[in-house]
Amino acid sequence: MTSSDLSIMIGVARRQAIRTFTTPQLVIPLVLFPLLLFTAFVGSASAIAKNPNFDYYDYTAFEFVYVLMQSAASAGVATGIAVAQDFESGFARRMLVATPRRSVLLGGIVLAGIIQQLWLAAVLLVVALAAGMSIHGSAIEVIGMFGLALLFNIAGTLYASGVAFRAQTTQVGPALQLPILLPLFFAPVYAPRKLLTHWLHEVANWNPVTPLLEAGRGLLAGAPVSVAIAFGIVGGAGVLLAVFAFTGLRRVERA
Amino acid sequence: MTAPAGPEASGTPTAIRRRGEDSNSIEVEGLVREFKGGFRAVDGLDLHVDPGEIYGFLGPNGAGKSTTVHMLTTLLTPTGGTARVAGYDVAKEGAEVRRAIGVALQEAALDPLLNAHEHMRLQCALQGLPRSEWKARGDELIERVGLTSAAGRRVGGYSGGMRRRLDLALALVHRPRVIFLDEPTTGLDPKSRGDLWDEIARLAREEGVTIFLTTQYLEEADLLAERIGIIDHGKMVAEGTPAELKAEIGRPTVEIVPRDPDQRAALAAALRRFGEPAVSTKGAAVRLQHGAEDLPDVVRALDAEGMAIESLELHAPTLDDVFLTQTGRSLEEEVRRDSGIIEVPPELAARA
Repeated sequence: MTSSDLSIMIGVARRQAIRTFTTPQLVIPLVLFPLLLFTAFVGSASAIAKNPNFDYYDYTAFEFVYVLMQSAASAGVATGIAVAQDFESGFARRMLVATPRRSVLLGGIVLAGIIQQLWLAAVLLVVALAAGMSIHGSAIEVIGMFGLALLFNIAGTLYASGVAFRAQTTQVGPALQLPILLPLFFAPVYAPRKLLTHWLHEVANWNPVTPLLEAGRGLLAGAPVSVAIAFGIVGGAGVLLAVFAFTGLRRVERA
Repeated sequence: MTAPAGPEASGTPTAIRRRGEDSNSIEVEGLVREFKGGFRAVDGLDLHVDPGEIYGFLGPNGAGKSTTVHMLTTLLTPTGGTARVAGYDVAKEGAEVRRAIGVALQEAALDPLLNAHEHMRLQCALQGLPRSEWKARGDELIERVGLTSAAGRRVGGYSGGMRRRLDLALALVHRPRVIFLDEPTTGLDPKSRGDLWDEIARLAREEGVTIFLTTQYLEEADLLAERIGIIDHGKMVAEGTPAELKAEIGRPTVEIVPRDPDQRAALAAALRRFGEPAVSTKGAAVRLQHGAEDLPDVVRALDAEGMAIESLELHAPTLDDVFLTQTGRSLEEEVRRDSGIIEVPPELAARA
């Protein structure tokens, strides 16, 4: 990668950051949704922690990991929707016609998603700590948990960008969110997998998001489980979705 | 409105054509773009634009102008033929083409949430300018297009003219050798249009930039372009300097509107002996066989037939006449219709 490529990536990400963080209509929903989800789960479902079979050390920490993963995916999807908006407004053409090596644009889009996610994660962490969440994992384990969320965010951005390159319209927004939000909601959201019953338990067993949540929760608790599986799933998905996004960009180029 | 000094008037700026070889030309041979369903938006187009020339590409909406520009700027892939811009093949050397060109597309695609400085920084990054040049180059261009005092404001609050000027400034960031301007003045007020014309003429005259300008405005093409290509239904129907194209038409046209609209057919028949009929949307018109000296005879003939007339106009050949001759349609009429301007019938106008 040349310094010029890096400049392009930073330029694209910087633009998205300026748009998001200086526009209340964009930044408030972005941060409000995970915060509402967090307070709603912690406030309404914390009684689950009294169940003798609930063996996690802290319900706030238990929900923090879920909301962190959910916000990572949402930030990725929001970045993809911004790409679709650029096609609708014609701004994408400006970028396509100005950039000699267009594949670099995708790097900038991913970087934009990462910046949003890092900011969201910081806000969530501050709120969770203020709400009394304790951290039992080591620094490396906590970094590993945030790393998982970041990879999940990258996978989400690549998926959403791939769809946006193909559809080039924001009308795909709802359809774009569904494949990400559904697995997130059918994972062990408010109770550990062993407390889930019937079909929900079955679905959680097969849901690829389950190992992700369990690994994140294990890392935060300092008792890692399924870490390799989780990194394998999110890394593998990232590779596949990178191919999906690149072929989408190629399709735009071959228009 | 200031009419810019035409490039012809200012002399050929060969000395100023810095990167000057012949590489900032545009060469198109048999260019085709066929869309799904077999529709050919561009159908075997040939054209050549010399380095440092302003080339006007004229045609009504849907003629294939924007599709051609999109292919030449690597936004669309040709389905046939070849095109070289600044010496590079648009289909095979897209990255090199993009390094050499500046583009301002039909709708000034700006981000309403960014200000002019932020747009400049992004454009400098995209075009690969060294970071140390960003501020100076951005400020210079913002000043050149007269946006310094508004540069800190979000573009969402800019007028159409301000947006167009910023768009042009952004296209110039990396000192391109060839600039594509796709209908740059559509929707602008006369003052903004004049300002933009001045800047376009200056670019060609002083910096030796090749400019490919698409427009629906005949006046714009007539004033700015050294040569004009007229496209219709994806094909080039005429090409040459404005003077050459008008000379092909040669003789003036007289257009007469009868007071009684029912007399249009009789009027057309009476005029036929003075030359070949020309298209008139309101009355009847004829291209005078012996030029303006036929006019007294025309008036006498109508008088003899007792035909009352609403108006009589003698038109020197215009680019619209060229368009009319080549396509059978009036470009001015099409533009007026496309922009939603409705002709008021004379009887309604009189009543009003």
